[in-house]
Amino acid sequence: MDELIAEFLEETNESLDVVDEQLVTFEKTPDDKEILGNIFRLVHTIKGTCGFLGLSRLEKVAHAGENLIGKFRDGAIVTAQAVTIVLQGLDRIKYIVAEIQKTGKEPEGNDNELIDTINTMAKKSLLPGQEADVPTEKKTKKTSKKKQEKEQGNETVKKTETTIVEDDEEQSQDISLEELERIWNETEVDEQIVNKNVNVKGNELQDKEQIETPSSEQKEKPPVNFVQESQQKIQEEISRQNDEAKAKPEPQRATAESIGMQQTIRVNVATLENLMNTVSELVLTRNQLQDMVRKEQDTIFKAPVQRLSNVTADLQENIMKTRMQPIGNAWQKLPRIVRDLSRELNKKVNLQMNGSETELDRQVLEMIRDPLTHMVRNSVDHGLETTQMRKDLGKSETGQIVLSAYHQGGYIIIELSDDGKGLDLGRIKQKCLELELIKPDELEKMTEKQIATLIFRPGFSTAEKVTNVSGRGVGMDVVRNNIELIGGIIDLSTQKGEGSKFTIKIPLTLAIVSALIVGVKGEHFAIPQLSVVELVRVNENTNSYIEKINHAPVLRLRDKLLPLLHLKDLLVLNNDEKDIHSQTSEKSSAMTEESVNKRKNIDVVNTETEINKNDFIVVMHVGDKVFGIVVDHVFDTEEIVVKPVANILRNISIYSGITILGSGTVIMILDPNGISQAFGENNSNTENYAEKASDQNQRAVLTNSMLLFYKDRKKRMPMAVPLELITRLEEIKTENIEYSVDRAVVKYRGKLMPLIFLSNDDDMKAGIINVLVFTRGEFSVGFVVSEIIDIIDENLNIEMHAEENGILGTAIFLGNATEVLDVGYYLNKDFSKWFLSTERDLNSYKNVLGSLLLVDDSSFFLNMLTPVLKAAGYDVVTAKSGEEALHIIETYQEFDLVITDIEMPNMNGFELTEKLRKIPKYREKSIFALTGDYTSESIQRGHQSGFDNYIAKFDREGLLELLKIFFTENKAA
Amino acid sequence: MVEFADENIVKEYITAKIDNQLFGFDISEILDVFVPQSITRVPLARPEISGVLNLRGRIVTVIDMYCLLDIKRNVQRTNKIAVGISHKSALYGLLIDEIGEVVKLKKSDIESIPDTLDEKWRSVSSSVVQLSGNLLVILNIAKIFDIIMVQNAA
Repeated sequence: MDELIAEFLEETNESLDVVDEQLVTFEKTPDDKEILGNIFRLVHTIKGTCGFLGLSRLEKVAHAGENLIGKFRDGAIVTAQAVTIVLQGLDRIKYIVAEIQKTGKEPEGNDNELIDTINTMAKKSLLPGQEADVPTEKKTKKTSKKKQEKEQGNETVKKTETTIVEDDEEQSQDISLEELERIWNETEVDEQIVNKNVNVKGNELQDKEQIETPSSEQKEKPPVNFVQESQQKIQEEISRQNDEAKAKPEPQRATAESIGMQQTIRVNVATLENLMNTVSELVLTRNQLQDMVRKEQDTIFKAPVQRLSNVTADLQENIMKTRMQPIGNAWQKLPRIVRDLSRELNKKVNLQMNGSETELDRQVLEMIRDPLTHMVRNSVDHGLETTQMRKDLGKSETGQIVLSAYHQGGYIIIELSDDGKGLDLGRIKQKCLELELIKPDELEKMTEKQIATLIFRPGFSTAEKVTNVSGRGVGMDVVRNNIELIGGIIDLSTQKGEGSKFTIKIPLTLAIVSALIVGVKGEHFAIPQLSVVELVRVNENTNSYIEKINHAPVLRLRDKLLPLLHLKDLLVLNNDEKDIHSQTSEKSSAMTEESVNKRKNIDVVNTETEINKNDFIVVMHVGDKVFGIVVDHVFDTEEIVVKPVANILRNISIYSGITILGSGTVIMILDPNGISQAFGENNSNTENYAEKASDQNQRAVLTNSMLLFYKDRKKRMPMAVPLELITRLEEIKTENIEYSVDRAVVKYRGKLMPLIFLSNDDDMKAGIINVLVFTRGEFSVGFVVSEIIDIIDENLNIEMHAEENGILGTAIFLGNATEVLDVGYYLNKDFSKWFLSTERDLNSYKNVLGSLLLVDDSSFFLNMLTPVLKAAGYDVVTAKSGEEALHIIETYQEFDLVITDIEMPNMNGFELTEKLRKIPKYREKSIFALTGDYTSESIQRGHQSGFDNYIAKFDREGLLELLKIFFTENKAA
Repeated sequence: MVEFADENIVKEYITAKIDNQLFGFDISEILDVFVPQSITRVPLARPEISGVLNLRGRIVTVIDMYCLLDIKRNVQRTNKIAVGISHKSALYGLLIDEIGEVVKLKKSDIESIPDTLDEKWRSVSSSVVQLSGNLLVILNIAKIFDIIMVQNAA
């Protein structure tokens, strides 16, 4: 295919995607002239280029579309019908483009009917204050001169002409547009821009650019500025601008530069892939070198290797960047799809997309494009109710679908939520039984969450009937497969009547992943970190249970039973008997890595084993399964370069790749999905038992689990504390404890955690101690105890109330009198801040200090700040944009205070404030600004715009302090 | 049969000794001959796959020819040598005992595989050559991979 045409097709496809998206936005906000201007320009560019390339059929359709959009741009009222017609036109363009791509030429046939429809619509779309117009007839003729052939087109053009020229009044507009064209073409700036363009883009594009550029670049300004003006004013404006342009070519050129000419080049994807592979090799070699240097003391290579290492890291990072694309690329088509669907299904839908600029590897992007589209369709079709149903339910008529993406520690998280009816678990159950996807007895054992995940089973569909949209049995299982193929996981939560939320977590890139290196029987393997939830150490001093159910070992972890499998069994490294025995309780420790998906369970580890002392259990979460893999050693986490396994090894599903470690050793990468499957085969009985037992156990937890412990080494009387208050049990070496002023603290998860000694015995200050960690929000406190005895399920029945502070009373557990710890007393005594939040918990939000609305476009920031503010006693509502904030304020409630970010897209903090000040209730309300830009100028500007206060974005303490003062004064007033 | 365009064209084969039996590889298919070091075992893989190793930064999958050809190991081999080949853009090393000399063969030297040859050997070889009293079995690399893939699928 002609290189020029190929390039044109590529550009056209990009433009079409953009136009699609913008048209839908436009339909919602028809008064947004800027969007309209953009759309007009894009269609116009397509048209112009087509004309040049001799693609007459395409040109005619584009022309008609431009015609209609031009009407809107000039102020005609946008009807839904009109938008549909324009979209039809775009679809036709897409079709023709696709054909050209396939065959190299335009398909047979003509589009007269469609063009007629479009023109009729254009005629009907009257401008306010004038009747109709003949838009770009002259332009077509001009363009046609540039074409070699146009026989086929003539007929249509004539037809178009006759239809339109019938109206006499149209002439005025006709002239003006022609005038526009003339003026633009005559403007001196044109050539400069064109030249500039040519320089940047290269010679072979010269001709194309000359046509394309005047139309696309020069129309930039006029549409935006004119539309609201009257006809006359338009004329004046043109000549004025024209004069300006002539008078001041310099600044004009500068804007043109900033508008259209980013310093970019197109690079073949294969070249990038190659580069990436080369860099991967380099990384390996670097790792090897580093390893060698590490072993040598005092070598002269140290410095150069260090330097090499830095350069390599830089290079790697930059190469990765070239592969990164904003996720918005995969989303572009969604607004259009949602719009079409919402009409088809007669539902009002608002699709909100956050974080479309979030970048990820293009390979990954390609893989999630289709699953995402499918999921969004599903949300509209199955998730949301019809408008009528929503009305009846008292929900707002318009269903919300929110798609957001953000980065989190090397992964990208994509969330898709709707406020529809939620998954109908009953129906899923019924359907699964009908389709025989699952056996009734299996179903009975399942938790609600597990039932919800049944929608990922192959062949599942609950749609009442097969529609165009969905219900064809190609469903969520394909979505899940695709996501798992790229090493991602998908999860969902749903609330009946309130909606569902899907969460997808995928690695940023496939080429280099972070992996945990484990060892078993002297062999090493890599496990991708993504699926590793935590590591549990099994050692002699642990108070822990590895139980046997039906001869298979299970790990009791935070009151859940996890099926266990030794990696050596999984890999059939030898056939030794698994030597896992039950044993009496000992102490426990949890060497855990916090996972992202927090279960509400309390992180207390109870493992009891003598598998092999010092064995590790790698707790993995794959799909809806959680299980433990026992390994002999855990070495390290390492960034590994994933290489494919040889053909002849691909049949082994337990490996996902191979890698070379820094030491030069080759190791296999275990595939979490493969393990999970192998697990099911090896161990399905255990798993079921474990799940069942675990369910029972959870029920037991509801009665009351108490943790029994000794507070000192004399072990006089056991003490007890409700297990659910405890977040985690830790073992801490006393030498790590630091004493600041009168308080003992220990470094814990990157922060200092205060320790409370329940006993004053000095022998508690040496050796290894056990710590019960209590956490609320951001704040953790450790209680030092000497030994953990057991966890028991028993009702707390205090028989004797204590006189002593810190003790609630005495109760009988396991036949022993046991003192029940009054956690509140210590916290109150030592940490008033803590107490504030616990008290709030107890009073269940009765004593709200005040209500505030927090506005920030970064969900990360909202997530970070909201718990802090809530813990401090404020009722917090969040909004992700200025628009949302206004919506909340208008529809829901009044707030004592609004805190807003300054830098936000669409509507920034200043604008929001101005808008708020126009609402009577908010004229006197306090509005605080949050910003990262904490300079005196911006503070000044903030005060001028009506902010009452200005806070640095990451000054959490400052914010809390300010709020305290504000609400105290407020109350007093 | 090996393809010879012309009667007189000479093709070169490299000979390899496995348990005192001579085997031949088309020299154009051999990339490398190396002494494999630190082979990483691949659990669950077929027995003829010895493991994987790092050869100058590239990953090589090692195939044990003893196992593949069903030859019992009588002597514990000390000097293992591998013949490096490439198949479908992946690198492989075929473990043999000894590498021999290169022989030049004409089409007339090549004979078809005798029916009496071991079934396993027949499945991976393309022809045989009488070489000064020794029988040289010419191995066909594509066939080797075919047979492993078939066994994998089973």
